Amino acid sequence: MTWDFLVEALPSMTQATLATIWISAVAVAIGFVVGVPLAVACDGAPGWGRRAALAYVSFFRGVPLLIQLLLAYYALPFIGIDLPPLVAAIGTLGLCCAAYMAEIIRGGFALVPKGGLEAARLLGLTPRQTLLRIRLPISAQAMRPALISEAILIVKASSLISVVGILELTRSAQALASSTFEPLPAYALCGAIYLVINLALTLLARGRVEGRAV
Amino acid sequence: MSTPILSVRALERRVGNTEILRRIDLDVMPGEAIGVIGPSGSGKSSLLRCIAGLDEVSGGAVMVEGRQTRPGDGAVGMVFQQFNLWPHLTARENVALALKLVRRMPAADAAAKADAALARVGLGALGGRKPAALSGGQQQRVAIARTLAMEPRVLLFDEPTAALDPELTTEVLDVIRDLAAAGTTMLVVSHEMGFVARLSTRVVFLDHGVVVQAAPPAELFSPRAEPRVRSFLQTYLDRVAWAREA
Repeated sequence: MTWDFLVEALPSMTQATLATIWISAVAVAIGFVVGVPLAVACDGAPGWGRRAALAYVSFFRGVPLLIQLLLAYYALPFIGIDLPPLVAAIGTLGLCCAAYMAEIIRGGFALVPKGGLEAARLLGLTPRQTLLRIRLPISAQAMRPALISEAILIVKASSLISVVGILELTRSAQALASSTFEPLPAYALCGAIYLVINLALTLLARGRVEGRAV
Repeated sequence: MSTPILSVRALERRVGNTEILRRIDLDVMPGEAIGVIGPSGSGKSSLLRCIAGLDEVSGGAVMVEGRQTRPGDGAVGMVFQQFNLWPHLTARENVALALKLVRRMPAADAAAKADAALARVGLGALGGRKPAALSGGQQQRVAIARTLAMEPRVLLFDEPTAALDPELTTEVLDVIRDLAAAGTTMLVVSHEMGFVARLSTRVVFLDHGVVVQAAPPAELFSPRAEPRVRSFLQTYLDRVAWAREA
């Protein structure tokens, strides 16, 4: 890896790193926000809501993310939904993340003692208040490691959205490899950056757990 | 006499083919403390859970001050065997949460009311502790404060000391006795017979989902009681007999 290579790589790879970080962050946020109601629906009373939620999870977990991205890119315009590629890509990533997070959140909810929920119900808390103030906080500690793992998977899976032409880390590394004719340092740098992002994520999660120790 | 504050009318609960409660009728006057006793599986907890609305009823009605109750309408408060505190919140937050969310009190007012409720159960100094840092008796008293703060019309205690050792049992029973003395209308399911005898204005004996006898304690805990009640109490007396000889 030469000095010239780094000078050439630095601006585009910095920008690409930031792109990967914010795209992943938005996808994970979508995943959580959609995953919570999905988890509630999956555990809810039998009916169309539960069936729809279970079908959703089956689809997004059963179809490869790459195919989902290609479907979103090619099929949505075909049925008249014209989204910018970036929106379609982040949306797909987030909705896929939601399916996995829903399963994690369901597992967390199963750990919340039923009695605490009965107390909330009798005291007059609404189901929504019980979800936000009781179920989620009580299960958060237990869910956190699995949710962080899922976030790490999303950071790595975001490399797939390069196929629809978005300039994130992987796509930028490909561009760098072909413009410098030095594929090895380009991909090594790219891999190292993913590793650093995910290590930071792990440390962040761990630091927070210790900081909040009961 | 005044009108009943709680009316249970022909209450039935079936699960599949099993009859848990069979046409229970019970009127409770304001300020009464009703002890509910009976063997395990007789329907004591089910009766309380049906009154609270936590278990579905198959027939009949539960009315508080003439209105059919729903869980969360504030008419009925319940204290559980397992306390059911929320472990992520402090004692004060456990008591204040429903005041804030349901009664829509400002945070400062809710905290002040929570502290007052905690002081009433003798825990004024421990509001900042989480349940894990409290003894079982203290946790149960927090649970009582949490229910009291919402000022329910009727208070239900479902074996409130069954998970506690004898020493901690005493501190919880003292709180319940003080509440009864202050005129709180309550139903108490308990196996602490001496406590039930001294606390209650009336005692209800349940067996197989039926009220076998409902009478003042002096009558129910006497040789004049129904044979089924006497045979149940005899096993209890046999167990504590050593205490009388000592």
